Amino acid sequence: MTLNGTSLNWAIDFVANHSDGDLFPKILEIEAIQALRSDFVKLIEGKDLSGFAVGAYRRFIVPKDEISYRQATQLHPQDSFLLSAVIHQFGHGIESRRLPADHVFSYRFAPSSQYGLYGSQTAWNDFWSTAHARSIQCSTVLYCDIADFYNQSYHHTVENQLIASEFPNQARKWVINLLESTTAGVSRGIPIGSDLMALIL
Amino acid sequence: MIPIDNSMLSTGLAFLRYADEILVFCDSEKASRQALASIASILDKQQRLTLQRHKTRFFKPAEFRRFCRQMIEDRPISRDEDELLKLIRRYSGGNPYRTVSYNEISPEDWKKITEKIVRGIIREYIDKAEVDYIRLRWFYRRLSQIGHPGAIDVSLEELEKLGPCFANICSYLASVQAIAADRWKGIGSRLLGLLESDEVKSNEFFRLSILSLFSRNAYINHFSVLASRFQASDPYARREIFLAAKKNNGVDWLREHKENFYSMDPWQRMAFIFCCADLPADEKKYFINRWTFDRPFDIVLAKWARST
Repeated sequence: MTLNGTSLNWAIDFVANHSDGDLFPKILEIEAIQALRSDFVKLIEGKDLSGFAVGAYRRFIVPKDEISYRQATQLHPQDSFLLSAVIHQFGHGIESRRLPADHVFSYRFAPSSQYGLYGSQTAWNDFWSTAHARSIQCSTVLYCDIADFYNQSYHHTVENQLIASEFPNQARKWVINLLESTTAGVSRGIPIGSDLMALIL
Repeated sequence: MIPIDNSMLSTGLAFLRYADEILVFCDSEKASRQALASIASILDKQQRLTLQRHKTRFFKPAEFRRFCRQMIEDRPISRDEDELLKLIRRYSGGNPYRTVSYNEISPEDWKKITEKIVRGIIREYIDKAEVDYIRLRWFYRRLSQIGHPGAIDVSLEELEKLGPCFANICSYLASVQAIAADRWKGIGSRLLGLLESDEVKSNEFFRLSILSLFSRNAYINHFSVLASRFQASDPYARREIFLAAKKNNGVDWLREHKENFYSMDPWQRMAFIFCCADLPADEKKYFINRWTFDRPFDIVLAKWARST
């Protein structure tokens, strides 16, 4: 299994424009990869993914409100490129197994240069508008929220889902290796910092 | 979440989900309690996940619809914010990622946004007993789209209360357009002052965010002060100081750090090679060629630095 040039080129633009959101300062060195993108793509395209060891990440404690904090992880830019390309190339395998978008509204995979990995910019409002309409025909609505979702997710569960979504072995192993490297070997927890990981949860 | 969604569907729950938030529509109060028990069990059995106790709620339909409206509406804190957001939306076409340049905005519209108005909006947020930081972060993101300087002073003055918005404020400051160079210099002085505050001293992320502004805007400058802080700085701060040197023609200062390249961490090395692009052609070629790079990112970065 190897990454293709289309996904790698898409990943370079995606990381440059969207990847780390507005939490982390933009990595200025990405300018160099954009300038010599064909060199970068040539070094990765068609190569064994297992040959690209995971790089050093940065982890910070960031205030959420006045009395709580959350951890935020910034991947090494090479890993951001590779992960973005992996998701771009194989994400449809996950998306095709999900319930329809009128059941599950968040992070629907539809990569584009303008908006990044996910399609709808109105998903949050669509979720609440649909809920508003649905509530007319019921007598009680239960609202609940999963506790500490990202930090509590097991790598093993993620791996099983990547297998079921027909991720090639090397891509699956590379993603799991990336997760394990950012949790110091602990088998749960997904790095928080960008939306890249949202699809695999 | 696919197995959890499938299991909830198989159990017959009429649900909608957005990330970690789940809504279930039930025919009776008893059914809603059974639904809660089912979800708790599914989450536990599938992935040993739990629900947030303080967020779980049972709604009657009318109350729920009010709740839905609150989640959807813009909920500006004042009429001023409402008008400002409408103006930004008009220029951005509603695209939250679009940066609107100063030249795109008509002088009349730019004048409508005053420092007093922006200050008033932010003050209204932070004067509340319980500050809505989610909403305030969202406001900073919108303001960053047009880079209006109106929030600079109030943000720097009130930083103690604005900690949870810190990253957004730094992004905002990086976005500011249409102010004079000498004002930037003053902002730089105030940012340096912030580095001495207890809040910033105690948080690595705050220091990184502040220092990153010096590597993105040449007008802020103050590089000599940053250089004097280098030896006592943590690795993340050192990386930003290297990048600030590049932005502020500090190539001669950078040269003195070549001999420490072998002991730098990967993020400092990455920044240092990037900065080497500004060294004289022969010098950078000789220096970069002494090192072996085996990761594609580093190989391409080194090639770019040698050839730029």
